Order: sequence, then structure tokens, then C-alpha cells
Amino acid sequence: MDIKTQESEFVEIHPKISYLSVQELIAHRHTEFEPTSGGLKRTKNEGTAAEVEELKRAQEYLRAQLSVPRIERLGGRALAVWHEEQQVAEVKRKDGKFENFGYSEQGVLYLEYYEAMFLLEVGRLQLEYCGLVVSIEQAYVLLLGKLESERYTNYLVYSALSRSGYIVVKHAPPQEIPQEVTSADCIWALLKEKVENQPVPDHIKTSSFYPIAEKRMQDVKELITSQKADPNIVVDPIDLKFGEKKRMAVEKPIEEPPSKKEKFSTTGRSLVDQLKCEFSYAKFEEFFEKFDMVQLKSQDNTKDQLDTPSALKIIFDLHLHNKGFKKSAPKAPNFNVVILPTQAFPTHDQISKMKHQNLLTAPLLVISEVPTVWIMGGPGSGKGTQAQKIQEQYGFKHIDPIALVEMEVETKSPAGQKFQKSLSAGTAIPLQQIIPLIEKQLMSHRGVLKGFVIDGYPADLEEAEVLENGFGSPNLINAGFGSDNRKYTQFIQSRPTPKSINVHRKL
Amino acid sequence: MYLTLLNGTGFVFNVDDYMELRSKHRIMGAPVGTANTKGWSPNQSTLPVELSKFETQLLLDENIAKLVDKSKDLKAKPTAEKLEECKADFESRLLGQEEALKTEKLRETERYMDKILTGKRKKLLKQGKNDLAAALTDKDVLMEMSANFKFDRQNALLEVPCEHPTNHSAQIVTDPIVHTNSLKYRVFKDLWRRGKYVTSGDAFGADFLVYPGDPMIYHASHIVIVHEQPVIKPLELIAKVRLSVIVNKSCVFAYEMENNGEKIHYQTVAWCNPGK
Repeated sequence: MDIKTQESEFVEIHPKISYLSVQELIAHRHTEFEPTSGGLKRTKNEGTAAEVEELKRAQEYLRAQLSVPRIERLGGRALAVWHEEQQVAEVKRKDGKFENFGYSEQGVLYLEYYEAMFLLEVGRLQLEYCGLVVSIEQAYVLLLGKLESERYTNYLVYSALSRSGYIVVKHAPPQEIPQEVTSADCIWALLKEKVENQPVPDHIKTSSFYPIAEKRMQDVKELITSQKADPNIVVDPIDLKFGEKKRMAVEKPIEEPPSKKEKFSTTGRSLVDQLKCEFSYAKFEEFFEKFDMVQLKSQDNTKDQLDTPSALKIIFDLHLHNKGFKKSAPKAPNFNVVILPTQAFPTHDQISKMKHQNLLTAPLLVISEVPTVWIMGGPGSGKGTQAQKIQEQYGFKHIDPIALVEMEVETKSPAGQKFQKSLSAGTAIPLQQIIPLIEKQLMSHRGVLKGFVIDGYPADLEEAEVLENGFGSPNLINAGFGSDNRKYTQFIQSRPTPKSINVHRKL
Repeated sequence: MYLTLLNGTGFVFNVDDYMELRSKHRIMGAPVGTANTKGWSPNQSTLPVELSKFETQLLLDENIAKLVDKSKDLKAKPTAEKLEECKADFESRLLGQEEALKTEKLRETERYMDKILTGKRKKLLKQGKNDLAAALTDKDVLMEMSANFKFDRQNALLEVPCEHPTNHSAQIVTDPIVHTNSLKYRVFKDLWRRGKYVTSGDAFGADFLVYPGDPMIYHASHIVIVHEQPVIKPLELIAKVRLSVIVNKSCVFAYEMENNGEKIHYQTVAWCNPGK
């Protein structure tokens, strides 16, 4: 590009490139680019001839990768027209498999900006604006815009997930589906009517189970009031088998613990543990598992709060290829995708609010701007999900640097006296002062160091595993997405398919 | 060199421009375009290259490139006259391909001549025309192919260019896009001026990564953490240094002292283990 005019703020730009000649088009039509394995990187730049050669090759390779042209027959691509006002691309002609793209409105198929951009960049779409074929550069200006925008993040996420094999569609808000009334619902409704004087809702009354449940309840009520034994009901006698237990105790003498302390500890020898193998215990357990957990009405979400829109916005729905996705009759998605706008981390309240607003149709996939693994127990795991708390609890559990500093103060060393001043002033300790101290302390406490858990901070899968074991399987997924200089996306999927995808965008 | 203003920062659409930025000016950027290779490998990206705001600002400050806003011209509707001209040009480019595509077709025919000949002979033998089958030569096939070649506009090749290929106007962006006196930007600039390759430190939870050479063949040697205040909490120090040790890099804290002008200080922390 050459500079022509500089007098005003406007410049005339003459592109360095021009349209390819016919020969070039034919020659480069099938250019394929094979990624090389790369090999190990070096840690030191010693300026040797081998390094210069290696760098030259790497640069040639990069140039080749970046210069693969997008050439196709005129009739070989889909065709769409960009509407600037509506910010959609209207499809004029489809190509090949198109069922996962776009949405229909009054018989016309439209593409969202990210879909149009994706198809354009993978060479499947010829996009026209005002009757002319747009270049990639013009498409970026038209579809994504000059201002800093979430559209860029959305497009990168859409592109990365699509290429990873997911079907990514615009998030569809959940529809109110009338739930089928079960026999249990009828019984609950009846109970509420009798106990709490709540009228039975109409949709339950019309259920075929309702008269049966009502009849049964009436029968049971009569049984109880008339106190007549029903010959049909057989009550299993509970045999406590006292004799058997005694014999068992004789047959299997419990080993005496070596120490007195252990002898009195209850682990493995409690009365409760022994009773667990009893028939009656198993019977009660069986009954207990049949109980439904009835959730208490949440107090922290007033109606007003639920009506205000959530700060978190679900952008995409994710479907798996092998689940038979159909655009005309979509099933429930496998994931809802939230892309965090800034580095802000969603709080437990925000997540639970989303749940209460019934916005979710699937587990959440949270993609953040920074490649930090966000560890999130779902609502109901009962723990705050703020990253800092998790770090405190799982990352720095055994670390007590304050004690180290205090020890220095106690010994009244020169450094300690300085710390005393800082501590009493309530200020943080200056960097230069603390470095030699920490080094010294860490070295003299190497045994203690083993208890430190600062593993691969900030991204660590083990932490996630610890959490999963502790909190139960999270119904949220951890993901990282880098902005700035290195485009870096990482998804760690823990449910429902145990599969992990790594998407790195870096050179 | 012109950078296109997109997403509030500079984008590069020309491969020569980018290679110059990378090899001559040590500006890495990140290719964000989706590559049109088969198999849709998620690891492959291509032009355009998105520069970080710091990188863009640095190029502006050093007078290496200019940032331009192209949205006005590229969004504008062309005049009827210009539209006519562009369409005529487009058509002539398509129709001009007839000869070349014919030559290409004949070249392809020659390449697969053996197979074509055997197939044609077989067909003739089936029809009982043994004489014709024996007399069939390469030339006959080529003649036939040449006579039967019909140019279809739909088969003309079209490239979707990356960089906008026609002349257009753009507005120079004069305002800085980051606070040029912020400590983070000054640290970035200072490290770059010292001849280092500096990229974002997101992947390690830091501010910058410093490489001894092009990141394509070298590992980062330093993790740089910028501190607005020249103080650090012990816990934070351990966490940051410990991480850098694990990934075999040196941890550097960058900060400035109060009442000491705008001089940037660097503190490298080494982690030694005398037990080993």
C-alpha cells in the first residue's frame, strides 16, 4: 500500500495485491497446506547458523500457511447478500450440507454475522454487498465492525467450536412445555388439598391418574379409621437376629489395635457400621431412596429480581453431531454457552438466578477472556464459586507466610524491625525487602514447603478434580479463552462426554 | 504500511506486511482468520492478524505503520456508474478464463490419456467397431475434447481475496488507542526497545512474556508481571515465582519507584534449591 495524499486525514489506499491471473487461479486452486509437526522449541538464542536456518524455514512455513488463497468455481459456493440495516446475510443459493446454518423467516434463509463470516472464511460462501463480491477485509468491516465488540469474541468461539465438530446455533430461550402429570403429582396435589387446604390444580384433576390416586387415598383413609387389618398387606417381620450377631462376634474376633488411642477411636468399629449389614437397615435404606427431595422455596430471589435480565447472556447452544441434530425440530442442546464479557467471574448468585429464571436448557459452558480454568460447582453444590475462595481453600491451604514474617519480627533481625514498622502501619511490605527474606525462609523450611500447593497456578486440572470429588460433579464446564496477543481457547469437558478438546490459537 | 481499524485495534490483511512486522519489527500479533483447509483443523488459523492494542500503539508511536478507519468507504454504496464499471470488470475477468480453462482441460486429458484411451477402446469394441478401436490415437481424443469443450460461466474460477483488492479511501486514526503513559504500556515499549520479543502473558496469568527470539522456534524466557505499586504480598510472590519456576522461566516484576521520574525497575526472582 502506498501513501498518496497526506494533506487531509483521508488517504487513498492502493492495494499491493491485485486479482490473480487465470494461470495463478488454476495453479493455486488446489493449494493444500499440511501442518508440520514443528518439533521442540529452543530455550536459548545463541545466534548459531542452525538457528538462523531453522528460523528461515519456520518463516517460510508461516508465510505459506497465511497465503493459502480461497479459490472456487463461481457456481461452487453458496451465495448470500449482506443487508447492512438488518445485519443479516440473506441466502440466495445453498451449497452442500447447509442444515446447520442459518434460520428461516417467511421462507427466506438468513445467516447470522458469525455464520456468514465462518462460511466465507472456509471458502463456502460468496458474499455480495450492493451487487459486488466482498473481500475478507470488507467482510470484517461490514460484519464485525471497527469498534471493540463482543462480535469478535463470539465469532472466534463460534469458529473454534464449529471446527472442533460441534453444531453451534444461536441460543434458543427455553419454551414452556406443559409437563406430563404423573401419578406422584396427583398424590402430592391430594396431600396438599387435605393438609394445606390448597385446591387441586385443574390440569392434575384431568389426569387419568387422578381418580385412581383419589380412590387409593380414600381406601387407605378408611382402613386407618376403621382399624381393620387388610389381608392384602403383608408386613415383613423385622428379625433383629440377636443370636446370629453373637455367633459372628465369636467367629470373627476383632483384632486389637496396637495403641490405646486407636482402641477407643470409633473408625470402622462403630455400632452404626455394624448395623449396616442388618436386614432392617437395608430395608430402611430402600425406603429412603424412594423419597423425593423437596426443595425449599428460595428466599433470596424475589420476583423483581427474577424479572430483571441477568448480567450473563447465553450466546450459543451446542449440539453434538452424533445426537441427530435437526434445525426444524431442535432437541434440547448439550450445552448453553456463556462468553464472559470481561475478566469478571460470575458469582454463585448470578448462576443460581439464571437457573431460577429458567433460562438454562442445558449445562453451561463458560468461556472466559483469560485462559484460567474457571471451576464452578453448580447451584446446589452449596459452595460459593468465587475463584479466590477456591484458591484459598485448595491452593494455599498450608501456606502461612504471615507466620514467616512474624517469626522474623520476633527475632528482631534488621529485616524484622522494618516489617514491624510496615505491620504496625498496616501497609504491605515492599517488594525489595521481602524477596531475600522469602528466599531465606523457603530454603530453611524446605520440609514445610512440601505442604504448599501452588501447582501450575492459575490453571490446574487437579484442582478441578478435587472440587469435583468434593462438591459432586459440576454441571458447568471449565473453559479458557485468551484475548490480547495470543488467541487461546481451552475446553475441559467433564460431563456428559468424557472428552477434552484443546484449541490453541497461537503462533 | 496501513493497519485496518477493527475491534478497536489494528488488523493486518496482507501477508508481506505481516511478515515484515514479524521478522523486522518483532511484532507477533495473532492470526484470527479461519483457515479454509480441509478437515477444518481447529489449530489452523490464517490472515487477518489481529494486533494487540499495545502492539498497534507501538507501531504508531514508532512511525512504522498508520492506523486507518476504512468503514466509511467499504460500507458506502457505490454509484451506479462505478457499480457498472466493477460488474463489467468482474465479467471480463470471468469470461477471460475461457482459453486458459480449455488449455487446462486438455492438459488434464493428456495426463490421464492412458486411462481414457483404454476406456474408449473398450466402448468401441463393445459396439463391434474393431477397426475404429485399433485406429484410435491420442490426437483423436484431444481433438474430440477440444471440439466438445464448452465454456460455462459457472465453472470460471473466483478468488475471494483477503485484502480488499480495489482502490479505496480511508481515514487516518490520530488519537492514541491506549493510554500511552500507563505503566503497562511503557513496560511493553521498554522491553520491545531492548530488542526482546514481547507477547501477552495471558497464558501464564501474567502481563507479558519475553522471548529471546521469534516465538515460533524459541520458548519464552521470562514472565513479566507489572506492579502499579512497588509492593507485593508474600502470598502473591510465592504464587507467581513458583509458577514461573515450574514452567522453566524467570519471573520478573516490573514497577516504578515513587519520586523517581518515570524510570521502570525490573526485579528478577530466582528460586534456588540448595538441597539438590
